Amino acid sequence: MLSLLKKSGDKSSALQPAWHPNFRDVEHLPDTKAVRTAFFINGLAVLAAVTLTIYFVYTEYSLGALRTNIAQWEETIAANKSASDAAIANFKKFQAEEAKFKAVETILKPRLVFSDLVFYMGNTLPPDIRLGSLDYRSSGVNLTATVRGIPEVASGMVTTYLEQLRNDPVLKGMFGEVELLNMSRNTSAELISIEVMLRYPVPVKPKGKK
Amino acid sequence: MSPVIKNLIYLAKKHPVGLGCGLLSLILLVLIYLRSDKIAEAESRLTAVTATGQRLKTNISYSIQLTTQLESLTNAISKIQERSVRADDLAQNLQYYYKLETDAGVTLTDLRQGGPVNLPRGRTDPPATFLKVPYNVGVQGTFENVMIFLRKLENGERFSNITSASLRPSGSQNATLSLSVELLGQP
Repeated sequence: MLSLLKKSGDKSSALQPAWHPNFRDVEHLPDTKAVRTAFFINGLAVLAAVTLTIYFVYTEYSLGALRTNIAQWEETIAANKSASDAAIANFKKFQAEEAKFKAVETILKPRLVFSDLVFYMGNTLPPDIRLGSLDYRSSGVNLTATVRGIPEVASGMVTTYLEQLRNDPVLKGMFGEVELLNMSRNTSAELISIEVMLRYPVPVKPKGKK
Repeated sequence: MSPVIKNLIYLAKKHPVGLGCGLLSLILLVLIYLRSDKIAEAESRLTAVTATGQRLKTNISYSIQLTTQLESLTNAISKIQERSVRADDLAQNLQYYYKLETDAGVTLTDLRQGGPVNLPRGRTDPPATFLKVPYNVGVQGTFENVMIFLRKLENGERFSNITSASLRPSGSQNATLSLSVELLGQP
């Protein structure tokens, strides 16, 4: 309440300039703060030094570990070099020999064994059909045969034989198509001559760019 | 003494810990800067030597059976070479067919050797070890004997590949066989 009773005229005295000079040497006066500035400066400097020391030691330790690892690997490399070089040399020789082997495979890769085909065709031939000739070509196998019997019956036999060839599990695996090329009748001898083509399947070309 | 040095000495006396730590920090910073590349260098070196070391280890582990396999393959190739013909040895090559003729009891009606055929190869490929030596062969005899000849040719001493064949009757009991054969040859 006293402050309220004071006259407003008291403020004028505070605004008046100092009437005596300030002789205080601030720099040489002791720091009277609760925690001195030097403490913060020293603390920060110590913290920075400790942090940098830890970082430096850690970096050097990591570098040392890396160098140890490198030395170990270099020892391993030195120990394995000769064995590895020998392995590479052997592998090159192996590749050269393999190429020779593949060349042999390419040269000796028949599409079929002709003697096997002759025996197979003979063994699967119906009793009234007689094999005339067998021609093995790059496109397939051409066979001629004669069928004994009156034409009505013999032509039926031809159809049955063609179906037999088409459905034969062995021939089906080798040939893509069985086609009757020619059929002629010999009335005097009661024979029908046929010519059949067993074609290799046409290889499907992979779709390429136009 | 200049006022700057005086000030420094004064500062050092006033803040010895701070100044010492500052100097240490400065030295450490310089060292860290100077050695900053070493870690990256060592890491890249370690990556390189690790890769090389692993590669060498893999080479060795994969090649455990390589020597044995190479030996087997080399033996197989040398055996194949022993059983292949030389295109130049015409007399010896034809003798092979004459022997088959005698063994099978057939008559050779045609026997001609063609020029050797090389397999297609690239510019950098080594010279071919094997090639094809083509023959035109005509045989006549009983069906059984012709088939014996054919079997002996297919499974005989020389490696053969029949590229075309024609079998047809000849007379009442005989058969005629015309063949285009390729024997495995060496240059």
